[in-house]
Amino acid sequence: MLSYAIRRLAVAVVLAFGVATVCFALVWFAPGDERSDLLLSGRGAVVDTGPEPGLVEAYGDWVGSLLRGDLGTSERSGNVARWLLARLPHTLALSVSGLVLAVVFGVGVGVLQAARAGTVLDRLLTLGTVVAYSAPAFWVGILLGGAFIHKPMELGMEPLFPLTGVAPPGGATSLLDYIPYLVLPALTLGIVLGAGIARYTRAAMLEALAQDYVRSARARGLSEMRVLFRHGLRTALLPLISLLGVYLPVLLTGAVFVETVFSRTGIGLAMMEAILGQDLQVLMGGALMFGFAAVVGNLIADLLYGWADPRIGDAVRG
Amino acid sequence: MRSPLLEIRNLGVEVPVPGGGAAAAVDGVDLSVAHGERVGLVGESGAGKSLTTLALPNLLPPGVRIRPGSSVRLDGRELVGAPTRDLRAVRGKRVALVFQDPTHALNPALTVGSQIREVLLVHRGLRGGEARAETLRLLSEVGLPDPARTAADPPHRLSGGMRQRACIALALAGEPDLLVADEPTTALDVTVQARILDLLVHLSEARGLALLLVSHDLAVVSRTCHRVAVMYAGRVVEKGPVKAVLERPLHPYTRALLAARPRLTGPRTLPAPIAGSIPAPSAWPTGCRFHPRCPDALDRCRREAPPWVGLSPHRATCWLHWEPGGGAS
Ligand SMILES: Nc1ncnc2c1ncn2[C@@H]1O[C@H](COP(=O)(O)OP(=O)(O)OP(=O)(O)O)[C@@H](O)[C@H]1O
Ligand SMILES: [Mg+2]
Repeated sequence: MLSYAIRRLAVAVVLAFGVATVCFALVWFAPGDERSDLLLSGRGAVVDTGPEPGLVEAYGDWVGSLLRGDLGTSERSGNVARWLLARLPHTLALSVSGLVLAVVFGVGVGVLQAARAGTVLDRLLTLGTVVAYSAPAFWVGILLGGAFIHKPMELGMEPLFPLTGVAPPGGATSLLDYIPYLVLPALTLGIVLGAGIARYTRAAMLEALAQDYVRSARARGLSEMRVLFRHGLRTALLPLISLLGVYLPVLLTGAVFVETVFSRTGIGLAMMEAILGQDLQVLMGGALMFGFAAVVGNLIADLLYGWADPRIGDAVRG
Repeated sequence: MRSPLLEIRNLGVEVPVPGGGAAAAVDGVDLSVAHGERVGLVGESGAGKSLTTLALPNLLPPGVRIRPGSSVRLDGRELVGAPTRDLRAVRGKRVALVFQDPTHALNPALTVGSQIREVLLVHRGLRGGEARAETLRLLSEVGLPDPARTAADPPHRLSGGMRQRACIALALAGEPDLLVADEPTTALDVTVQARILDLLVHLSEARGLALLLVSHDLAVVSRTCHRVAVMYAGRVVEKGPVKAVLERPLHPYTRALLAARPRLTGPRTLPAPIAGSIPAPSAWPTGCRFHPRCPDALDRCRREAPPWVGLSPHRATCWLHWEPGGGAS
């Protein structure tokens, strides 16, 4: 397992490097002046001394500063790395809580559907998950905002949750202060992502429940709960771990829209503003962060999978 | 005399038919197993052997159901129609099942030990060190050479024979009175087959465990069981002590089964296969269901279901042995 982890880690490093290189190439080879703006002037001194450096030199330079954690400076936002890092916790909080909600919703609904396959309940839930699965995140966000914020306000009541932002206007005094601001955005992500997980879980559970070992588990007199959760769900969920790795980019792009809808000052909103304000430094910094997050997420998913499924552990060891 | 441990009366199992409706794939089976007795259930593919065994603790697949009027009694207590919660207390605890394919009978994501400990917890309330010790004891009882290691292994690390032993250990974990083994050796190598059968006999004798052994091979049954029932097209067509049935088979089907067996001794003839196969339950012939394949079929066999003939305990349902006012009883 350890040697697998080390090998997998090496792959992740290579992947991260690849992500960075692609980001660089996209800007370097893009038509227009952006490349000098972004890759040269951001480095300060380079532009003033001597002629414009070539591709190799610029790339080396850029990777060097990237390794030092320097994402350059932008006119609007100042030090890009610092600007983005300050927003990172809000995006992390949103993504993680959205993911947790999605897994809870998705797995719960999927298991319920499989246990009641073919019933009216199953069909209604299928309809619901298909709709939620095809719905764009911002649309779900707007609907939820309408239901829990605007509707109560129209009716002359206090909105159930704060409309926008990440913390009370005066600043948060404790971590709890952040939570009301997190509820609807996290719910939005949870619903959109959870619908996909529910559809996957239902199918995987139905397949698992048809396995011989589930019949054997019943033959041993185990309770239906044990059969469903310990024997059915366990094997059905193993592939979900790696599916979550694949979902990570979806989660992050979801975060961009959700942050925009709820005006949460996270990385997604920063990127959206950067696009509108043509702030390439921030956009590229955000893209790099999302790219790295996807690499790390997949790394974690693969390691978890190897740890959770003894067959994979053996296959990669042997 | 003690009442039988298991008493099956008029068991019918209905399966859905492609065109709609249902057909009785098991049709009026009577069978009993005494405490500690080993009984074989033999027949070709499609005879209804597996459905019979699955019907006992009602583990039939969706859409398949036990026909009204069937009775399965365990120590006198009726299981047909019993609430699921009562059946759960029977499954694994009083009647344990071992299936044909040990590869898929164990959960691939759980270690062998944790699957055994689960049964120990559910049926015997054992946990912690006690459960671990009992797990190792069970694994060595079924002849696994390194119990500690096997307990920690996920199933895929075990060979087929070892997996079947692990399945048997799992079946024993609830301390059942009856072990129902549905073709437990069919998926295994020939050499391993014999050892698993010996193990079953040994366990039955050591624990006083009754065994209902399903097989399509009379040789398997003859080396393990006291009594045998031969099934054809959903019905028992012959039953009796193994020795009597093998030496003086009454039913032409039993004779054909015996002739179809590759012989290890005597003249090396090719096994004589029985022409044809058992039709689907929806297409079972009238009269004696074996008559289309029977070399000696009479006119009567085509029209009327045959009566039981022969002297108890060795009996068969066949017109050929029927004498008016005589053998039929
Ligand atoms: N779930 C089901 N749905 C419909 N028909 C079924 C079902 N299960 C079994 N049958 C039919 O019932 C008959 C008896 O099946 P069963 O599995 O009991 O046979 P068997 O004697 O165990 O044969 P084998 O030696 O192949 O295991 C077969 O004709 C089979 O096609
Ligand atoms: Mg069978």
